[in-house]
Amino acid sequence: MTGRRRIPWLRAGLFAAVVGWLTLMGLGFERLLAHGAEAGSEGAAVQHWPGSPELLRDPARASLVVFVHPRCPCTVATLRELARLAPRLGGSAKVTVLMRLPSVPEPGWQEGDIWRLANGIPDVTVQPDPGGVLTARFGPVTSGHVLVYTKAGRLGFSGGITPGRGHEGASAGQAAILEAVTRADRSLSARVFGCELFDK
Amino acid sequence: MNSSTSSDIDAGTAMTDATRQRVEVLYAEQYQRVAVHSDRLFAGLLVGQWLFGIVLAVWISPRAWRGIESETHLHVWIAVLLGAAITSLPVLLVWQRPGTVLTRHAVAVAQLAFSALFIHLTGGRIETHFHVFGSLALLAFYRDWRVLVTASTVVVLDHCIRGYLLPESIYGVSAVEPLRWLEHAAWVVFEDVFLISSCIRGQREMRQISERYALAEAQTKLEAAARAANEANRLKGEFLANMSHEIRTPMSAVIGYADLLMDPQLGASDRVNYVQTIRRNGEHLLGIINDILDISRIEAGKMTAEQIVCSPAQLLVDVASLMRVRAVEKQLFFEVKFLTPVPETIQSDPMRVRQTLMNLVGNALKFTTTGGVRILVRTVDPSGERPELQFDVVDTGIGMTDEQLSRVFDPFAQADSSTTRRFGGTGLGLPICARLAGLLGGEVTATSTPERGSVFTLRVPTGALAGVRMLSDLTEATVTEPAPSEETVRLDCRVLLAEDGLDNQLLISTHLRRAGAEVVIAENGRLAVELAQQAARDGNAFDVILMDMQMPELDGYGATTRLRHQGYDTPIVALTAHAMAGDRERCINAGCTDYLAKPVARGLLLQTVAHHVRAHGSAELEQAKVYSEFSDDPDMAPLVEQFVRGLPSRCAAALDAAARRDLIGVRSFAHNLKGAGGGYGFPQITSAAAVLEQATMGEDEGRVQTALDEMVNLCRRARNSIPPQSAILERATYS
Repeated sequence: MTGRRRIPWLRAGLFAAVVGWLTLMGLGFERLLAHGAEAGSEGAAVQHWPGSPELLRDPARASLVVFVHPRCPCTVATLRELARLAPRLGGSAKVTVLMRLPSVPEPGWQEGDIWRLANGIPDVTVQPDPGGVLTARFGPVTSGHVLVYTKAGRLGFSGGITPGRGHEGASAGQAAILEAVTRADRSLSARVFGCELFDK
Repeated sequence: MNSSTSSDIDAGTAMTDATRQRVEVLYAEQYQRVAVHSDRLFAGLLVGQWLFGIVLAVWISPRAWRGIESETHLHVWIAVLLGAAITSLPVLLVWQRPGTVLTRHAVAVAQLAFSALFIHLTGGRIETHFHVFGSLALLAFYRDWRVLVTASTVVVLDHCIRGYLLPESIYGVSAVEPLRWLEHAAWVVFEDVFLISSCIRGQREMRQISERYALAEAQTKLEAAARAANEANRLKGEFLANMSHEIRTPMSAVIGYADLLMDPQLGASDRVNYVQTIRRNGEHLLGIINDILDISRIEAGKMTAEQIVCSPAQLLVDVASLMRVRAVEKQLFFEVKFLTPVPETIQSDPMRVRQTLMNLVGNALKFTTTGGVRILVRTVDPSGERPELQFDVVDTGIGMTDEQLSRVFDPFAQADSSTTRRFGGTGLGLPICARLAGLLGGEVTATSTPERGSVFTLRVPTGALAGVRMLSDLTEATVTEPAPSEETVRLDCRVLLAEDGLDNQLLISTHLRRAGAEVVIAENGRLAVELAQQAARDGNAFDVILMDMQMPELDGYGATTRLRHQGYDTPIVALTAHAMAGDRERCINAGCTDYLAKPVARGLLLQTVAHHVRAHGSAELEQAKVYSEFSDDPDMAPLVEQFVRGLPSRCAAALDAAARRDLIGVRSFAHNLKGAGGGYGFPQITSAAAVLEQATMGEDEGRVQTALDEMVNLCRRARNSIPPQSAILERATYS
């Protein structure tokens, strides 16, 4: 008798458990998706190349600067995409990766995948930026932000080159960069995915 | 299931419905084992993937940065918490409900949820998609294609939803073709086709294996049943042959010696020898018949055991007194030893305990030619929840091998047939013992060494022993009450023998008369009732009635019931040829005091009658006498005595009236005594008579009977206050 009475309760309990379980998983994946699609702040990129003896522009070609937080995991995808993009530029742009470092050198900031990836891309200059002084002059605040300036020093592109946070793959940014490098009359942008370059 | 294969098996082996059902059971068991095994595998795998996900997240994206400050990356928390959520329910189900449909479908959902999580954590790497295909392949372990459908549904839903919301997280690119999810789904379906086919084939193979097992089992059972039937036939054949021999041998002796007795030239000495031979063989034959009847009754489940208070010491006295004679005849020693204190009384069935012990001891004596037999008695766990009495019957006989010992409790099987030839017997004694012990809630076990002897142990529950006196330092001598020899039993009593068979009338009455008893014979139950009533009315009541239970007109059960209903309390001993154990209960229920099975041995008959005459007499003597207030008055004494001597006939008349339901007669008796009792110095009689008179005014027959019994008892005690004319006569008058 008791056993027979237990069955409906058991079924109801199991049904509730399954529904609760599916809901919990749905919420988890929803949070994951939301985070993946959450772009960083685009900051305020300067419209003209700021004069700086530490980072000189090549007036014969466009200048592409990638602002990187060397410990941001999402930026790995940016550098992998940069490695695919750089050969396609065919020397039409001077490519620089600006590594935002602490003002005072700290262990772990000048090594790792990001440094290795950046140094491994041909014809790319990797330049440390202690304290983010140079970065601040250009205006980006999110790691992975790419600025392309035309031969004339005017901003042609501002944005990211990954489709999502930490995700590799073709993106609107890459296509825009190729267009910005070859055409001087366009100013394009795309969303940036990465860690914040500066403290609040 | 492949139909051609199934029909082949059916046609080839004529599979029965029972076998088909067995196939289903075996298949279900086999599938359950597979499902449970796969559940456990996946439970481990899920936990492993959870931990792997955490490691993966920590490795790929340990911390999120804000300038030079950092915090744990959200992916790490997601890997910990979402991974735990994914793992929780399936692992819980595997633990609590392994092998169920819900469990494996939950496992399938969880497994593909981990695929989705890993693909996301690795940024949609195409390589991580192999986790999906690996998972589907692993889920095929369940051999349940529905599980693959569930898993594939999760994959398709994941691709559709994420492909719509964040395509780069699953396809690696943000701009995807509208039907890209279909391409991924198609690859999953491509794999599913093969996996589902594999599952169906796996189930079919499992069913074929189950069919083979079921058929093999059926075949084995069939062979075992055939062997058992053959063995049973062989044993029964042997048993019948043995029985035939066992019955014919004493029967031949009885008939042969009876023929010899008819010779008029026979001398007195030979005549006695022949009669003793006939008697011995008759008793042997009776033992065989009793055994057969008992085992058949036990096997039919019609034998029951009582739970009444009885004395274990008295039981041992009974057993020892009978068995010692046999031991002496064979020049064997025989002793009873009490190894621990034993309870004064136990709750059991004394008849069954006695029968079991007699069988065990008789068996021990039968198989012992030198040395002797001991009964060792001990109380086991007297203060525990289930105290027992243990009787070890230890002999120094021929003993048995282990193989022989294993068969001694099987009916119809003695140690071997040569044993039967050498020692005789039916081979039913020990099986009966084992079953009787079972009825008593105990058991019989045995150990034995060939040529050294055997120990048969009977353990009987005693019932609770709290408050029961434990008898210490008992010896055989202290508990043995020498039974009166049948030669020395003298009966000074009147016996009514109700028996319709002329031979038995002659035989039993001769035994009784030779012992000194006065015997009156009634040929049927109706006459017995009339004679008993008449004798009581005449003040010449019987001391004992021997009542045959099968008689014409009114049988012994009816006669006894009628006498008891009339308040007749003289001992009535049932005589019946229904020697089946259990008939005793029927006789006792009818109102009999005791029970004797025909043919009745002379000694047992005389001892039984003597016992009941003594017991009934003692009971009466124990009644307190009631004296008149005028007993010391010389003038009144003669009047009082005359009044008291008239009480028995008045009581008998009242009892007779009560039996006829003549309430007016009973009321008249009460009314008269109510007035007379006080006048003769018996105020108790006046009071009791008033109660009886009052009772007769109502319609409660039980109340009348109780008041009348009280009244008659009081009159008897008053009658005892004056010297009896004849003790026997006085007792009988009030019966």
